[in-house]
Amino acid sequence: MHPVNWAILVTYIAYVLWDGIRRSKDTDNIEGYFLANRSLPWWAVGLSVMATQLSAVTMIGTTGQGATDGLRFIQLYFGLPLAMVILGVTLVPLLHGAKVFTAYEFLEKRFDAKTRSLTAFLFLLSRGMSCGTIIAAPSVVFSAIFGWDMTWSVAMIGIPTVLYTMIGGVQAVTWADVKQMVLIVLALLAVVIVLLVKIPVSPVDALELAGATGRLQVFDFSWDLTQTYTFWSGIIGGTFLMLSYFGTDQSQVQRHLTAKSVDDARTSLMMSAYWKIPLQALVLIVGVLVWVFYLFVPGPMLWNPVAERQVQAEAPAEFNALQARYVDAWNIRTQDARAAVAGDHGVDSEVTRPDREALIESEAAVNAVRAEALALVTQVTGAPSRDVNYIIPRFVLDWLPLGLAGIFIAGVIAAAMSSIASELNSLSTATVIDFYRRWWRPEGSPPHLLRVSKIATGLWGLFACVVATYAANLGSLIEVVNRFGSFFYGSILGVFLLAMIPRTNGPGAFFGLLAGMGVVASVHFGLPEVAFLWHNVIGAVTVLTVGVLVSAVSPRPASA
Amino acid sequence: MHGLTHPRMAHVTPPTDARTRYRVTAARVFAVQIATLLLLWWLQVTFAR
Repeated sequence: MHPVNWAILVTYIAYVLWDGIRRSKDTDNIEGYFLANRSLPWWAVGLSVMATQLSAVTMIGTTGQGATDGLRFIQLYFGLPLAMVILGVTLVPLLHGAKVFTAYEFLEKRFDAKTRSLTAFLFLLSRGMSCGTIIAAPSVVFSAIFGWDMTWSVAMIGIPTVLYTMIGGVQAVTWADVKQMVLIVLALLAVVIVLLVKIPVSPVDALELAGATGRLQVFDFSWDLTQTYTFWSGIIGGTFLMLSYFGTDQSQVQRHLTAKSVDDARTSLMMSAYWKIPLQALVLIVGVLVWVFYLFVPGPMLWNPVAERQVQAEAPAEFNALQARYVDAWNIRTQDARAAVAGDHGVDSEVTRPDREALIESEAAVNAVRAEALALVTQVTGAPSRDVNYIIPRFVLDWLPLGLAGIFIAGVIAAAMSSIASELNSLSTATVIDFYRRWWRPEGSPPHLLRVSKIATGLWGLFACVVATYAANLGSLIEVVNRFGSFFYGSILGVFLLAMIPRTNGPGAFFGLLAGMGVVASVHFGLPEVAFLWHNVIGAVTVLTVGVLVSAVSPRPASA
Repeated sequence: MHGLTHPRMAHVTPPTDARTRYRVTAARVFAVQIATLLLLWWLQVTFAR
């Protein structure tokens, strides 16, 4: 990478670190350290909520998905605005009114200690591992693209984040999120502008080319439960997923608990309700435009440079044969793309329609050669060959002007840091509030608890960095944990929904939660083809049903 | 009895003027979402042939 890009990256990391550390002046007790004394304005909280959700995977994985699959992924977010409106009149005022540090603390006030401890434990288990994968995803890509050692990549992202989160607490996390979110959006907009300038056809023609190959196909109205992204899974399953994520996951709940009033908390969530879908469209459109760009500019057959070099070295004959076929297929596709947009912008034109069909065929031919090349990668390396995550970083380094590449890489690191910081902060909160203070040191002095909170943040950061460093070897374990996470996400939402139903009780919540997780696990293993978004609906409905029934038959405590 | 009007949840129910304001906000959110979806639909039907 050019020294100017390096300078931008180093300046960004140094600034975030300095800005985060100076926030520590305002945190001298755990209410300040974890909740900023419930004093933050809605716009800062709102940007923090968005920055927490948007990780480096969005910047490099989702953009890559836009290049290969187009816009259909956006359907996942169709339920988000509805979820935010529902949360504004249910869990947000409920949690604020209860004056809690964690969402799980509320469950003890409403139900019992074992329900609180179980939900908090499930949160720690899943978020602890996911924090590692959030660091690992960009680190793996940077290692391959820049040739860095994995440990160095992890350290560059992980260490500054752990330091500012540990020292500055939620104040540092939130104000860093604000600046990181601005950087991320500016980086995405800059890439779109550069692409529009560099693509040798008009923006309308670029959209026609993307549309001809199905990349602008957003809506799938089928009721096929095996399809992950459909309009209905997005609206129904997505609503349950977003209710659970924003309403019961401590990494998000802690964002809106820092707002200075219920109104500010509600308004902060409305920011996502308004902007999440357009922002996600922007992310996917970056990928779509990068695909259009590579219609006219030769791109690599394999996007992962490490895999490319390895295959070239170990199977040169097969690689060269595939490379020759790839160049031929790419040349034909380029000719077809030029023909499809030459001299006619009418989408229903009789002239362009046959050319569009030719483009679809030549696109399929390019993809077929790539599929063979990816199979060769798996054969040679013995590792998964999916290389979607490498498309955007390679475009950025090869084609963005000097300085802008550094800004985009800083944007990717900002996206990673903002998610990791919020997760570390919430992991520490749940550890200290739901376990340490609840079970071991209820009478701990404020300075003692603050010291323990900082140590907990540091230890979770260390754990996440270790998981990230060994992510490649822990692959199957991480997958198991993520799968386990999907078993209880909807079920935890069910417990919170149950809390809003009168006459439900602790045994109902606890056994409802166990039943919900069990049913989702049964569906996952018995009907593996059912898409994961529906698991959230199944889990929540099971908990509600079992919870109400168990509450009805179990004896009520005398104090209720 | 509705969950949010139960005495234990009384603090959750916003006062009337706040409730009206929230309804307006919710209506705005849905209007923006419908407009966004219509724009995406227009993109799809115009270019995705």
